[in-house]
Amino acid sequence: MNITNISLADLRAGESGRVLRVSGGWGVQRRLQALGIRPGSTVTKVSAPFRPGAIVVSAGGGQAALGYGVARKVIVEVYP
Amino acid sequence: MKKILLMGNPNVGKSAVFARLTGARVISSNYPGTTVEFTQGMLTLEGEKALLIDVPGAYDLEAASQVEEVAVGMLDEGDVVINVVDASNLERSLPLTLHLLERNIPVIVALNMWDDALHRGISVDVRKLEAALGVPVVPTVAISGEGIKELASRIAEARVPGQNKRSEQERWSEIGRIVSEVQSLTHRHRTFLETLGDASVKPWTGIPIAALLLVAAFVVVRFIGEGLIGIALEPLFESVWKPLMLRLSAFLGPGSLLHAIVIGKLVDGDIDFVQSFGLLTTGLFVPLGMVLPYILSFYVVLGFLEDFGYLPRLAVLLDTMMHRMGLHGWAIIPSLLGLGCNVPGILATRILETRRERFIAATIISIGVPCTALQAMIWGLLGRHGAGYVIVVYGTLFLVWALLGRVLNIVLKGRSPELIMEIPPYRLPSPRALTQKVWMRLAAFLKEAVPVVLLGVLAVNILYFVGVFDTLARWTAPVMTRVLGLPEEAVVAMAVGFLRKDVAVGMLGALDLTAGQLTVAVTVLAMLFPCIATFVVLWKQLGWADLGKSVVLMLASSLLVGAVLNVLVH
Repeated sequence: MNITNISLADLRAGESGRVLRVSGGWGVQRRLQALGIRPGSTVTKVSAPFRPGAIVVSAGGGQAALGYGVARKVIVEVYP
Repeated sequence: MKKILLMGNPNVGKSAVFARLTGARVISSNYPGTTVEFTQGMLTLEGEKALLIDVPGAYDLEAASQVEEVAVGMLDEGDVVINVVDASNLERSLPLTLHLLERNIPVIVALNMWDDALHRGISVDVRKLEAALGVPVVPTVAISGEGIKELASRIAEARVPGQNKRSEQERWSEIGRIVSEVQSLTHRHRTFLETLGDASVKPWTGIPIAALLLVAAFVVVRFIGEGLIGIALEPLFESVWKPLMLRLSAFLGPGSLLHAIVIGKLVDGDIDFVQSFGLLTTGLFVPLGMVLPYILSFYVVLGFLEDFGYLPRLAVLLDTMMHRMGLHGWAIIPSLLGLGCNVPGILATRILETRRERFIAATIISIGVPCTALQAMIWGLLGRHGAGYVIVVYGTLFLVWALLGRVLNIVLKGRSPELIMEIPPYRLPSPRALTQKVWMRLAAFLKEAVPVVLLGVLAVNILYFVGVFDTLARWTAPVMTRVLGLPEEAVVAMAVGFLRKDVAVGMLGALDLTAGQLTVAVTVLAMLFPCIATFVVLWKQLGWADLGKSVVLMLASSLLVGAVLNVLVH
């Protein structure tokens, strides 16, 4: 099985992954949790901009937008 | 008196539940954070009056933003909590619910957007959820009123389930357990709205959609606004109101003080609704005949986009641009609201996390975002000289808005926080809710703006009579004439702009300016100083020190831009 660990910022649109870890401050972690992005949860990337910018993922039954800097702090294991 | 708190995540329909329970009219939209200030209303429960408080949305009880702090602070004051939960997204709603259940306060759950959940193939077993949470659960559809009666009648059953404080980990596993137990999903195809929702944030499709919507919004606002003026308001004023006013004018006798105040001056023996400047002529025509139609059309379009759920998607697309201005994508929403009226726009900056962001956002709104009243007058007067001039004004203000944000981002210490935002699903707006929202905003305009317009017209007449304006005009003459290329009397309009910008543009209309001069004048007027209502919220929001900085920026940037435009238009 081919598994790679990358950040949400590098995940391609349409790909899904399981969240391994979220770095960053407690406030950021807490807000991401509220949107269904926490270790163990499954996220699917909906959109990625042309250049580094905000992305949209679907997670926890809804969608969430993350700035590029935050997206880089979320490490996922890509589902093959 | 019993205090009932209405609590829930952002964008789960708390305000709609509030409106249903109290009969009060409140604004709700399809994006998180519509309620930044708490609203309260009365309701009668079993013959007893109770106070219902609509608490701003929060995801849990560990306050992060200014708005969430308000929510947590209010928990100590309440007697009962109605926890509004999104039935279509239990996983996201339950963290707050569990936090509440761990507190020593009676809770009842309103399982809202029940219809939406069913549409999306999500069904929730209410009995099992009641058993799992240990408090009453009532399915509701607040927007249509379904289930609200039952909710009200069962508030008395709310209770404290007496749950122990959980750790973060325990809470998540509990949520997982509850969701798998009470929720069942039926497979279904993706809906058109879901596909459209995703297309709106993907760059290849999202940017063209945004451009199309922007143009469409503009065309529709103009079409409805101009249509109403041409079909209804102008004929009404010209052929019904004017003959009446002419008779009144003859009765009062031109030249009397009362005539000057009520009718104003006659232009070639006739009433000119823009130039006469009497209370019953210009004082009524400007707010009702010129501005009101645009207020209506703007809020119909904005309300549709809000309730549909487009604004958060626009925020995603503009995130990179807004970062250059020290903000993130969210900050576009206060600026868009500011296009209607700066006051709600500046109030909406509370949703931004840091003081620095709030300062930048509020300042660029008050300088670079023209309100609908001002825009309507610009179209009405400057538009006669050709759309090109109006485009110059819009283009200049947009550049100022963007550049000022850029400069403040460079000058002010600190950096902009990152965007973390829920993207709500697209929902077809309910015509009833949309109509009500437009009506509330119109009523607010009629109630708050029209008296100020009348006061402004009255004040102008009296001050002219006293001669204050001549002195002011003499003092500021060098700036007006040399720097801005305007006649020295233009300063009077600028001063009146402090009361109402629409009245001020009306005064410029009476000055016989060239198209170029009018372009300079309305641009400076838009930037120079906010109207008094905006000034007050700006002060409340920023405090004296930052308000002072903001005012210096206004004066400096408006004079600079005015001087440059003056050179360019000649």
